[in-house]
Amino acid sequence: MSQEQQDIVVDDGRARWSDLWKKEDYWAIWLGFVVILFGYIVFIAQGPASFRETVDKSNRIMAAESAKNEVFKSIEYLTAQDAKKKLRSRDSAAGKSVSWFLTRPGRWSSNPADSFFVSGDTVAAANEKAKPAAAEAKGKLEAALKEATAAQQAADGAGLKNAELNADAEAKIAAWRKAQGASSKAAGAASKKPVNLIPSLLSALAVGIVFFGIGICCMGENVVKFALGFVGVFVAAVLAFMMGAQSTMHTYGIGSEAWAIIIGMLVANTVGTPNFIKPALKTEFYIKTGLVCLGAEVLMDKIVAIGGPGIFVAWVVTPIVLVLTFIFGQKVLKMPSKTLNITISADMSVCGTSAAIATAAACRAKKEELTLALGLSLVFTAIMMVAMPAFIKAVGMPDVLGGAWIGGTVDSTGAVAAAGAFISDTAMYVAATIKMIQNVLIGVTAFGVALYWTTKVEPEEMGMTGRKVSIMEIWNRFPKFVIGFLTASFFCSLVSGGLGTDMSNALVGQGLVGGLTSPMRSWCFALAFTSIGLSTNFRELAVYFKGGKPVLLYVCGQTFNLILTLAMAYVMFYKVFPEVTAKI
Amino acid sequence: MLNAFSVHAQPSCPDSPLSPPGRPGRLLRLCLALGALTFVMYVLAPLAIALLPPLRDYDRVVRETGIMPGALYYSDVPQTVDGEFNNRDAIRFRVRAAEKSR
Repeated sequence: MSQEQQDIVVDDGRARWSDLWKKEDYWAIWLGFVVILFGYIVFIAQGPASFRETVDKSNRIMAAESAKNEVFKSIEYLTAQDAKKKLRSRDSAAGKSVSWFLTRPGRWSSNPADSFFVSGDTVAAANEKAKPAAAEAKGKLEAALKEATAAQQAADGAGLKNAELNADAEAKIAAWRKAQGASSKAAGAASKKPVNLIPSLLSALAVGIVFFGIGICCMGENVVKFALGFVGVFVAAVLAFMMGAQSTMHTYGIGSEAWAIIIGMLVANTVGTPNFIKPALKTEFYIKTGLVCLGAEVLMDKIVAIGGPGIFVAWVVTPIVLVLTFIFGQKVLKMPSKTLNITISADMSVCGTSAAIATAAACRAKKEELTLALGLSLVFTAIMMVAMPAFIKAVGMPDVLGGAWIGGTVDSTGAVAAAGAFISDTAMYVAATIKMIQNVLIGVTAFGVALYWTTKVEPEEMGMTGRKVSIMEIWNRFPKFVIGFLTASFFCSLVSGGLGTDMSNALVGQGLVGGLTSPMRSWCFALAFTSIGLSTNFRELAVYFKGGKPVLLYVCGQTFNLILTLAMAYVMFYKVFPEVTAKI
Repeated sequence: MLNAFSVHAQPSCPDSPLSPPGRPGRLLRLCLALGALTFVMYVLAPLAIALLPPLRDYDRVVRETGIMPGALYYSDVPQTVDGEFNNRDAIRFRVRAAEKSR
């Protein structure tokens, strides 16, 4: 049998009831659902009752302040908003216990050990050193609040009709907000606690072995061999988190996923992947479980977060760019691999790495194709997150337009926020919100790609062109984890919608998601990318670069994305919905 | 059916006992790779930040705000919560209040 034939799994395609406990697609769903259900019980069902009271009180103040002052956001308005933002069900005792198990290595600069362990003496010395700065920042904050209050009273006294006084009040309130941020950061630096991640990492390792081991056991594989190998994969994943937390790498946006591949490939292509690790290289299992957990974060009510302009910029432009880039890759560039084409197109147009992972899994792309898409995204994101804000500032583009442009085009969400912050707070708010709306598109993209692949691409590849594909055939080939992913999204969207925006943020966003599914998904992806790295040969990867077509596809698609997003953002924010632009 | 990740995983693993060169050569390759990585991390990457003004400004903003540029999804970026609150509440309270007063 040739190598090519060995690399292809022949499946008779018939669905059986036993698939429910024998196939990893289903096990990814069951494990993901267990995580979400557990999170629902801990963070939502047991959520503090006092949250509702705070939310209602804050909203009453904000409504009254908005009616009283249409010109600028008053101190009372912003304070009430802060009170809502502070509500987090993951800060409960149960939430903190869950977080302890999921802790990842922390930030460090020159000594990697700082990522895992910081002694009490070191912390005490650092806190003592930071205290004067914290006291100074606190003093500045008090002074800034006094000035802002006086300026606001002056503007109010003139009936908000004096433009000069209004502008002065707005500027002083902005300065007070900045002082608030600085004071909070300084206070944080002066109240650090000792760190010892070893017990929590050992616990996470044990939980991981049991969690994935149940699925492995039911799928009929050797659990002991898996457990031994899992230790190796886990250690490499921990190292990936550590490397992603290094301060310089952090600035460049090279996160744990990229480091997991780098570390894995480094081992695999130098000393070779140890044989005992190989039974635990379950890339698909980890990635699909991570994607079902990610489903909990795909909350449909987020798409109206910035009203009409957000929907047009993120949900109209993005699918157009995705489809046209794919067609361009097939018809003009003649990309030999459709899976690589769609993975890069989704990565570039939707939301970078997360979209690439979901799309690659939905269309069954090869691991080298996903690695390549990730690498491209990493390089271009690093360029765009520095170049775009510099260009926007240089040409004097309005903050809202610049923010929307960045949000709709830069791949990674973190890079979007950083690029937006480079311009102003307003630009960052708009950029991050547009990106968040675009993030939600990941569910629709994964479903659409899975459906297109099972109904069109795969039948063509199997020589079934011209024959009608039955529903059962589609079902048999459809990647089942996508159903779990969408069910998780649908369930959490329903819960979130039922709670209302503010309560949803406190219980779902800052509870179920922030406290459980998001860190759980990070661990799953780190394990998956470590597995990819440990099983990837440099030479195999080079084949996919041939002719530079992936780079060309990315550049052409991104150029089109930049033009269309800018045009749509301008029309929506300045021509169709100017009232929204004026108030954000 | 083409399987995504796992089918390629096992056969393509560089197999330690068989693949040339021998153990000392492979250890040397690992040491060289780690050396290169350390050089990039501790020398080259910080040097680029120090020498290129746009990168330096960007680094300052990242450090000041605490944003994680490598974050994968919106839920990993706390600043998204600020953005969402700012925009949602602006539409919910301020745009509506302006419409009412007209």
